[in-house]
Amino acid sequence: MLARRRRGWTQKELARRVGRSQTIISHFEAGRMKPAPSVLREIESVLAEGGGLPVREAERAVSPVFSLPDLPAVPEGGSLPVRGDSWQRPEQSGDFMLCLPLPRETILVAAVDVAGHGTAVLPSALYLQGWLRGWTGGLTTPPRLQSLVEEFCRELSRVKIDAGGYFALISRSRGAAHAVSYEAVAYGFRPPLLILGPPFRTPKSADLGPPLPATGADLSISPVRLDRLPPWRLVLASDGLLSRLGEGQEERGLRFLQQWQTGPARDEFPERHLATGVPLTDDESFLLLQWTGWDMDQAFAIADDAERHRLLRTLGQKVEDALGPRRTAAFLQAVVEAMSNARRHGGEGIVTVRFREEPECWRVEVEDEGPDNVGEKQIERSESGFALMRRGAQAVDVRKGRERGTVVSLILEKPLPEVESRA
Amino acid sequence: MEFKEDEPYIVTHPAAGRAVVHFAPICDHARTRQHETELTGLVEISQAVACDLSQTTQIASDWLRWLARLQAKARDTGKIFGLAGMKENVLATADVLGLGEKLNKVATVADVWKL
Repeated sequence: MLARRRRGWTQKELARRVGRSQTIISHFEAGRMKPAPSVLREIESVLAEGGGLPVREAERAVSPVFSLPDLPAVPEGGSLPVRGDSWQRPEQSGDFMLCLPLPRETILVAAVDVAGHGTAVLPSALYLQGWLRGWTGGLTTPPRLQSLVEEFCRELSRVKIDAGGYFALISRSRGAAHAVSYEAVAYGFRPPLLILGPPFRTPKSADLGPPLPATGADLSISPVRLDRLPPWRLVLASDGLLSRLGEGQEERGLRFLQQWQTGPARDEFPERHLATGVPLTDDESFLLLQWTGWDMDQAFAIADDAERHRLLRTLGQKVEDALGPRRTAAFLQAVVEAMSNARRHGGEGIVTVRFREEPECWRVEVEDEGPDNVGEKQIERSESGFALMRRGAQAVDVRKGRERGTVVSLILEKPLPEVESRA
Repeated sequence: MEFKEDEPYIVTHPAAGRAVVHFAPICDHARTRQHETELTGLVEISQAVACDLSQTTQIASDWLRWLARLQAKARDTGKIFGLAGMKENVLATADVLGLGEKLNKVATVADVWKL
């Protein structure tokens, strides 16, 4: 991973250069899969020489007026298992969104919309990015959110920059495994979508205060504080992007994002849904954060019978004490069907199975790498593998994989205590 | 009966003209042409075929559907074909797939020979 980062390449970029899927690079870097020796040699050679397959013409960057180090919006290998997907128009932008790792398993999410747009406000945006990175760089404990905003406002006043901003601290909660504490404020920046589920809910993600720099009473809006369990996704979009998506109406743009982010294509790369050839009228930035922590996250060849059976036995052991043999058997049958579905649609390729215990349920995801061809009708059909999944799990959710493939998510509710005592 | 992880079933021949297909505890293997040829051939050459599912706790839907097709083939050619010892989950799986009424279900392999 270090070699790739030294080259300044994303996983996607490296995958393209070696002509392999990004999933392979991702699994390889996470230590979940060892590629075949020939693939490994290919990756090492491309990393060493900086070559690989030619970058397509369309993907060559337009020469910028001046170039600066391209720092990632979301650092890899952060202190929390949070995955970030960012997107912005290739044009120079005065908006920025970033995610900075802080001490004690905390991250700061900042989205700043500098008044004006494009190259004219780029220096201000770069200055503020640097200020935020510097301010957080020396911390030994997570800051108070209000202190950050106060100091940020002082700096804005000093350098005479007007902006809108959203700031959030996300830290691991001590209450339950995979729970996070979320604290956020927004000033002149439309609060992002905080989407929970499936089943989906969208609680309030921040109060909206006046634009920055705010002072005195204006500055004292209270942060929204929540403890949240996965799955959750935090969806940030600049007003320029919302306006373009909603054809001039930000509310409509927000509905577009909500529909996409609660639909089966929500894991696909943002550029598939956001890229456009429409001329730029305002800066367009997007950032999506989601929890990617699991108790078990395994990638293996679907044809590997021993590995598949070992996994089923492990899952059975995790739930049987609480569920009893009958529900456990039905649940494992659902997993068998999900894996059979992965084999049918994913060929004999790699399947990834994830498992997480949550306070009220167990969640299992089975992801294949095949062409996505699981249709809505197929999912709802009776007398089918999906009907068996619905029998063994209380909820079944199907979505498209990040690049390709299908992810089947099974949610198995834990028995209520009263039911247990009656039994 | 002991199964290797990659064996969906093991065939035995307790008597002339009779075959027993013992299915693995987890029968979720890729159903190959070789499996199809072997079991179709077994129905063709045997007078009676018993599918012993007494050890099976999970069976993939495509295997169960295929057993239903084999049973239909056996019926069309005047052969005996039955599924013995189906556990609760396998029975429920067959019901969800709409096969519950169609399959010849019996308690033991010995009961298949009486069909």
